[in-house]
Amino acid sequence: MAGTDTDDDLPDVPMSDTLKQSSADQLKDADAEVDKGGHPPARSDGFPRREFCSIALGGAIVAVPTVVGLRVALSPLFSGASGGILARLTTLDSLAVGGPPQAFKVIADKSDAWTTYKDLPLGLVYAQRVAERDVVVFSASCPHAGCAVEYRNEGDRGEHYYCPCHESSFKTDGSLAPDNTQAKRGLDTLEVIEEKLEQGEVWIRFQKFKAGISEKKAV
Amino acid sequence: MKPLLNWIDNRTGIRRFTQETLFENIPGGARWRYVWGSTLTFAIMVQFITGIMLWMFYSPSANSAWESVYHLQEHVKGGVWLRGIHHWTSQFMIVLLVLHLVQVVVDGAYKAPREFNFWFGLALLAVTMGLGLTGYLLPWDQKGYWATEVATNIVGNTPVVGDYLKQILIGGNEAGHHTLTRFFALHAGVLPALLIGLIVLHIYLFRKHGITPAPPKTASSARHFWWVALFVMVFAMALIGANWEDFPEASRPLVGIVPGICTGLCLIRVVYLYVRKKRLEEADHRPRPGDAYFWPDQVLRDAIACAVVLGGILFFVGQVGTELSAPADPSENYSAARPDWYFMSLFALLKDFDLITGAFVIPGVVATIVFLMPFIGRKRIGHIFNLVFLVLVLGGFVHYTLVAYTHDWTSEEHQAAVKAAHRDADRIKVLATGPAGIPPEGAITLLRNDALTQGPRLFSQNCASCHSFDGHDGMGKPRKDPQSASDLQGFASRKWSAGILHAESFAHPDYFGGTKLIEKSRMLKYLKSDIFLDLPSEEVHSMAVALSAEAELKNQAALDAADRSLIEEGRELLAIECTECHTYHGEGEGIDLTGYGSREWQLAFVRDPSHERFYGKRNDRMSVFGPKYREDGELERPAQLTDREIGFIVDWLRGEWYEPSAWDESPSEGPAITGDKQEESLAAE
Repeated sequence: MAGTDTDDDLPDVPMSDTLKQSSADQLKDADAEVDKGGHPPARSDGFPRREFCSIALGGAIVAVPTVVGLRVALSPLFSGASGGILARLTTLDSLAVGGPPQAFKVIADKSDAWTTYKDLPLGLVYAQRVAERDVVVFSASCPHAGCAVEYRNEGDRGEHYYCPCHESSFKTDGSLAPDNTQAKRGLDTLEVIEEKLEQGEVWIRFQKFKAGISEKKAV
Repeated sequence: MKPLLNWIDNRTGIRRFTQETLFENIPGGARWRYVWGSTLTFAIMVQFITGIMLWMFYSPSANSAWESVYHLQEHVKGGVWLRGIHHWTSQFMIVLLVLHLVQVVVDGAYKAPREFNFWFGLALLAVTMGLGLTGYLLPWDQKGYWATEVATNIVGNTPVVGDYLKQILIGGNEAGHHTLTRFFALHAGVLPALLIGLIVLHIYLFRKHGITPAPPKTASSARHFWWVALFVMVFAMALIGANWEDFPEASRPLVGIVPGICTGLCLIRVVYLYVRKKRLEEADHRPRPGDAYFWPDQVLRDAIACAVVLGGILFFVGQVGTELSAPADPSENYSAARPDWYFMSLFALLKDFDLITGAFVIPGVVATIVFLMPFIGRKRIGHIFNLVFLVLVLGGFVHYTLVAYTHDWTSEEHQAAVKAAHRDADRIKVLATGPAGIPPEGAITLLRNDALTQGPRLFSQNCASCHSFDGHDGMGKPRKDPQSASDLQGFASRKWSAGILHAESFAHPDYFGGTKLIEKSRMLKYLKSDIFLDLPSEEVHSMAVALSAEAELKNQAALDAADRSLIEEGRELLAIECTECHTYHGEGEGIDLTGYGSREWQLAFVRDPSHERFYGKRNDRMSVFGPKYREDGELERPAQLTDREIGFIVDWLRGEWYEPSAWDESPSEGPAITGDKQEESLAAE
């Protein structure tokens, strides 16, 4: 049972040799001691009952706090994806049909663990009224790695969205621009609530999507 | 497997280490009395595991500490168990430490050359108590806050360096954000690091010197032991018997049966030892078991002991639970403030001795003598002194702990304070799960704006010197002065107005019997007159119902709606019968019965009962709680109570406060937060 094998990739330095040897001796001695000590001899069927019980019981009592602790620490894994937060951006009239995209802070009530916030700024979006009754809203979170995308209108490049972190770029309709190198999908559109639009208000469902992949997947 | 083990062993020496750990020599073989050190190591391990997990949920600041603990307990699955195990393990650790200390002293394991190991053990005891003290504050609830207030003020009285120590400890002059950040750093950083260091040294020295063999068990040593145990138990039973009346009803079975069984067992054991005396003494001459290794017998014993400890911990977590009282509020007297039970004896000591003697001199002398035990115990007489001293200290500990608890159990005032504390603790949980949630300023604002919480407090402070509420002062404490004004429980309810329309109850102290109004009361004369007594009882009943309906009480809304015709009938009668002396819907003159008991009526009444609309000049002793004006219209003195405060009292008396069921019916009004609720509110729109 003790490690007397020498097929090892280490050169056999004397020290490790003596060490191994002494360990082996000790173990042998130990076995002998246990056998001749005041203890009842090992059971004839050879099943080490006391050893087994010690290990099983020891494992069980350590498992209790560990399991409880892990269940609690890993609790974020058990909470489902958030369905997003409804937020009012502005009135429909304040957006000109065919006008440039406008940046809005998304402001809504939010609950973060134990705190309930009233009117908390949650993020940035770009809203553009593309037709009389049609508003397109892009999340400003870059689908590449989540930096904040900027809307730019400069010289010969013209209107586009640009991410200052890794130079992803998008056309004004949100699709990938020809010179984009990093993003794998266009900007994420956010759901605009139809019923509210009928009433002349722009409400969106603000949510986040997984970055870095080509599909749009809510998180 | 084996090559891999070899590879690791060659580089780490793991085999030798394991062998040294497992094959520690135990002279005389495994024994139960050696398990305490292992149970403590186990308990500390549990604390590290659960503590680090708790750390992931804890936020150390004055307006988020309570909230984060609340969130963990109420909204994270398993959170109650996690916090419960951490809390109760700390309680068990204190007990185990004491048992370990007793075993060490009894076995003489503190003697040379183990002095340093003994001192490391004492240091571990101190560090553990420090962990208990700092951990008590972290939830930032009333209980922890006020107990820490006392503890840090004691620190502040340390001779010479007290002020500096206290300032360093609480991060300034007053408890606040920095107290929590510091206590947390101590609790989760400094003290655990010290604990690990001391344990390593403690175990290293223990391994270096080996186990102190306990004297071998003989028939006569067993007799001595069980005789002592029997005497201790009989003494304890005698103490319990002498103080039997002081124990509260509920605890009597426990304090009677458990020591009774223990005494019985000791008695049986002693009798057995004498019955089998000869045989047992023969056994003394048989060869004793030789030395054995730590593995596996002692390990198994240790594991069983640890399992029992864990079972005890889980029992307490499940059955007793882990308290989280209301969020800390320095402006709210918390007379239920008590430290953890193992500090209760010191707490009681401060009632008998002044601060310096009770908190420094006595504990200091005890600690010094315990520290010097290895030297005192060199001679046999010294060892006996140590034993006696330890028994005396533990006896004093038990005595003062019992004194403190029996005082609390028998003090009606303390029981009321505890009840009030529990009420607040339950209430804040209801409010925090309510539609408004916990605001960023913290959960305490919810309690401060809650009529059910503030109403009775303001009542007991401002009204209870004359009025009572259901016989008590509003907070459940017995009244101190005799009641001189009405009992306002159920004011303006049907029962109340029926009582008003009855001579006997009208003149009862629960109505107006205690006031000067009752002398020459025209109302009482009327109630006793034939005009009133000849009224058919149905008519009186309808008048009472109609009068009560004026209040539009929330809890009577359904009744009032059902009895609409009866109320109509009663109103007509009130207009006929009462308007000679009362104002009622524009008719008559006198104390206004229009909207009697409604929110507006009560607010106006409390603001100024001497107003013509109410008692006018006949007002007995009731204060003007609103601003008081002189006759020329100038302000005489500002309001005793703000309208907001009067509102709390009135809303509370009227039974109007937030109840969760009211919100459940209309979920769309609450803030839509999670996905599910979002869908609902969307559908509602």
